[in-house]
Amino acid sequence: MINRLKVLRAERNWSQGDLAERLDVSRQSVNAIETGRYDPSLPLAFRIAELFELPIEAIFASPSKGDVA
Amino acid sequence: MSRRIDPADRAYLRRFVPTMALYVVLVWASPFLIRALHAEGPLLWLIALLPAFPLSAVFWIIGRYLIDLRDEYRRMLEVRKALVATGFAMTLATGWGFLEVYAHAPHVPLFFVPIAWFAGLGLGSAVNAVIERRSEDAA
Repeated sequence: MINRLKVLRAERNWSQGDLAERLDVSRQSVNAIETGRYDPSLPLAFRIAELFELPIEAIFASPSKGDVA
Repeated sequence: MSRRIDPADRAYLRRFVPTMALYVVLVWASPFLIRALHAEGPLLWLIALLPAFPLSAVFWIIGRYLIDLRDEYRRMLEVRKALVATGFAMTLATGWGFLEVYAHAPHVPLFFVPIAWFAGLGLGSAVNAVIERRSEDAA
């Protein structure tokens, strides 16, 4: 799934490890989500959205619309 | 979690290592016990089954590990590994089964199927590593 995770992370000068620490997941997971080869579960997507204080659709592109709101 | 060890990994090792150690002991001890006790009937069946208990327990340990893992992506990788292992072991068992029936290949005891499954986990890890590396290179 296309997402803005890498951009949002870069804006905060966080490494993948920093983000992984904040989300309580592995760095591997952050990398997999950023590169779009893994779609997070809804609970994890909510955790990501809450961390960045953004709605989910502002981070992840809708699979049907194909863009980030 | 990125710098810490998932408690699921620790629990897995804590269960897996003694169980496999017990399996190795029982694999060596069972034939010895059968001979020493001149086991027959139900006692023979029980002693012959002894190594199967820890080996079967490993499947429960792996299932428990999948439940305990907090990181959902790592859980997905472990499930993929198990699926690769299942495909590998079933393919070998199916192929060898037909070779035994139609081509008089030597009989292989069925307990080699789970052993092939464990070998398949290694293949599953390799598949995961290749997919991970390709994706990281593409990123």
